[in-house]
Amino acid sequence: MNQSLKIQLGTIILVLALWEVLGRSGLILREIFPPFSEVMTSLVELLASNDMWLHIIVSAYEIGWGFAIGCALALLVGAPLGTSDYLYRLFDPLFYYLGAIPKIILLPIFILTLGVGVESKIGIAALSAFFPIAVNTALAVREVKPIFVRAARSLGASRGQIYSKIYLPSTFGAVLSGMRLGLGVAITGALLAETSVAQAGLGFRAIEFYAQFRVAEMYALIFLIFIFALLLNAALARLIQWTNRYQIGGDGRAPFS
Amino acid sequence: MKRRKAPPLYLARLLLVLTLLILLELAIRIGLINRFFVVLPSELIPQVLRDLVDREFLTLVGITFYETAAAFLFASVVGVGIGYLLWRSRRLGVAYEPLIAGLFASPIILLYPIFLVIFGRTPLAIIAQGAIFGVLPVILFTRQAFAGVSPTLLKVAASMNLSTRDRFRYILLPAAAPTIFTGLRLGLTYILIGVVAMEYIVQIGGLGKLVAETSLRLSTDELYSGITLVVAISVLFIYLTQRVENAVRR
Amino acid sequence: MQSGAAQTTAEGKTLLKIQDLSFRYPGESADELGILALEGIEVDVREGEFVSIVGPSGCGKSTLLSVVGGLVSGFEGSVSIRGEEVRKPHPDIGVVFQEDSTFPWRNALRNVEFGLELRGVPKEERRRRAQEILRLFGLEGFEQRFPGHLSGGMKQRVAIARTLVLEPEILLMDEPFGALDEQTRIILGEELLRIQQELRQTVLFITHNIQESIMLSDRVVILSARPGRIKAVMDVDFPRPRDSTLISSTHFAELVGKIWAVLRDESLKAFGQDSQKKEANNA
Ligand SMILES: Nc1ncnc2c1ncn2[C@@H]1O[C@H](COP(=O)(O)OP(=O)(O)OP(=O)(O)O)[C@@H](O)[C@H]1O
Ligand SMILES: [Mg+2]
Repeated sequence: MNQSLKIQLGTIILVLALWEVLGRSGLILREIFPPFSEVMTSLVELLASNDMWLHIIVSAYEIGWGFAIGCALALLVGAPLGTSDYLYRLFDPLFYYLGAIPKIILLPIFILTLGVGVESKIGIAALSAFFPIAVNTALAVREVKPIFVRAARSLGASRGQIYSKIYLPSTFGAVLSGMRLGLGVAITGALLAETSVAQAGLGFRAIEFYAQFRVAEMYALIFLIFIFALLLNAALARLIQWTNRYQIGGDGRAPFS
Repeated sequence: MKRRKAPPLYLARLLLVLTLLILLELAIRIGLINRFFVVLPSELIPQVLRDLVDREFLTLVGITFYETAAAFLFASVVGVGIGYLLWRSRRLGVAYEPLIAGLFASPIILLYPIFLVIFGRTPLAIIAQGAIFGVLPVILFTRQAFAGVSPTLLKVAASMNLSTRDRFRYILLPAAAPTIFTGLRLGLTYILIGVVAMEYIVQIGGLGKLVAETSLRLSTDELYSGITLVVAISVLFIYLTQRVENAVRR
Repeated sequence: MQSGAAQTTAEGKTLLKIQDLSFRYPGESADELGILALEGIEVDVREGEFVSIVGPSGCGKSTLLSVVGGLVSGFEGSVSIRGEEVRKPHPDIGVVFQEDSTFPWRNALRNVEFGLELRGVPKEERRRRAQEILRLFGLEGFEQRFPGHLSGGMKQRVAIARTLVLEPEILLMDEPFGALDEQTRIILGEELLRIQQELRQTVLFITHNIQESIMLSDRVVILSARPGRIKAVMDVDFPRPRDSTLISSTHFAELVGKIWAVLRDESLKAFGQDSQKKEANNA
């Protein structure tokens, strides 16, 4: 086992142990800071309960649709922006600044127009996912070297073939990087919106636990969400690394959440 | 030399925004978009101007900035310190870098109920969460800043027989400063975003709470005005921090 | 020395015909005239012939190749292959570019397969032909490598193979060895000679290296400084097969001297153009 891994695991174990000891010591109210073991027990109970799956499905539904819509719009807008220098420079600051605002404050508008159900969460998720994907797509298309297109044309490529055999593969990695960021913020946006106004979903459930002061369960659920997001992110990072294996350092630009 | 801020581009951006607003206005007026959902731009602008000079609004801006500043103070001091230590100890640095980067990419804001439980529904909860938000990029960039100081420069330092302190003051710090500044700016931006989002969700504090409250009042004018103001202030803030960074880095 | 249309002693029918070709890059705005890059170019290339074009930097060599390759429109005069006008990329004309044009997301084998893939050649046959030509270029064992992991010389060989595998009637090459070091350049030049003779390939070769042009060609066309016009045409009558020992012969040195004499004035002019431009920019 290499040293970094040892330090990493050691740190994680240390933090969890500290959590456990602090939780048991009574230095902090147990109602506020339950020990790790208690949280884990709650987690197991949580996963065994029936209604848990309902919330998981609702959240997954929102995130899935939101991400898909955001993705589609971002590709439709981002790709043409990348092909024109003028358009790119026209829109770049707009995207940069609008991409950086906290999108959750637009939730009231989504609630006003789409209601308090899953639709408004889909809206927030789509909007959140849109920006990083659009920016990365535009940038990726922009960076396709003109020589590749010239070479393909001289080798007999039609317009369609230039899109499918030059633009698609050479922007794939960067677009995927954008999608990774987009999926991350879509998850955050949807779940955060659920904690605000909702009828179901993991975020909703977590805030319900909070209101009912079922703190251990709340910790357990948040812990679960957090770990899931972390793992998903890491897995996608691996996948992107693999698709970019032929080049040295091929990651997209990371805009704000 | 490339002309960067070519006036036609600015003009085009202005025209673009104006066109969109006019289209929106028309769409609402002819009933394509329901008046109940979206407010007329022509009515929004006077409302925004009225709210802008409102004393309550200015207080809320003050609160948001106070929370952001407090979180930033913590994030910058602790972040630069930890970043430096992680650079000094290569072993720890190499081990912790991916952990911190992983945390940085994770949805920290979803932890907010925990902060609420621990700190109560107070600005302290927001500041604490904002600080966590901001400290991560500062750590990452500080470590990178020191690690990126060119070996030649360090050799020069060695050849000049500087004391450890002088070496740090005259060689390392100036060389690392630009990247550290980038980290600080990123941290500050993240803190602002996090603070406003938290304020909105838990309905305490400043600008975020403004939006939350107007949304409850069922007044479309006020809601849109509030959102416009928050967006405008965020954009202005990000723009200014960028300008400051550019000025400092030069 | 003769100017105007390039006559030749080599037998065979005319394959490529460039007649009174002029090209102007459009200016930034409508009222600006733009840059005249080529003027009144006349070149005939016969089957199996190897013709080089030399000229000072910026004289329009790459532009000429873009026009003949069908990659730009809006030129005056005519370019035809076997009497057929060239307006867009022509399947009988293959192009190798000055800069690296290998696709970094495809390994060497799949780079070479690219054009065959476009033409719908079945996978098996595609693979076989690509492998065969890679072998011809001494790249056996490197099929699975991505360009990022190939040397500059290997990448350029992949690019040439990618074009040649389509069996074009004529191969246009734009300083294909320009970015390479001297040794690699000579070795690749010899390799190109060998392959050209093996395939009896017609080649229009662009370079600014005089030795290289003499080594490889039957004929050398010398262009003037911008706008590129034909300044002189010289026949190179060394018997084939040739190899790099040619360089040390006196006749070789004589030819180099003759071409250099023409090229020197033009290169100085080109240099002048550049420094004038710089001054204009500084003002
Ligand atoms: N896209 C373009 N737009 C405007 N002018 C151009 C363009 N491409 C080339 N030129 C100009 O046309 C002239 C000829 O360029 P070209 O690339 O054909 O030269 P070249 O002979 O290939 O030079 P080199 O030996 O350096 O490769 C140059 O003066 C160049 O500045
Ligand atoms: Mg050229």
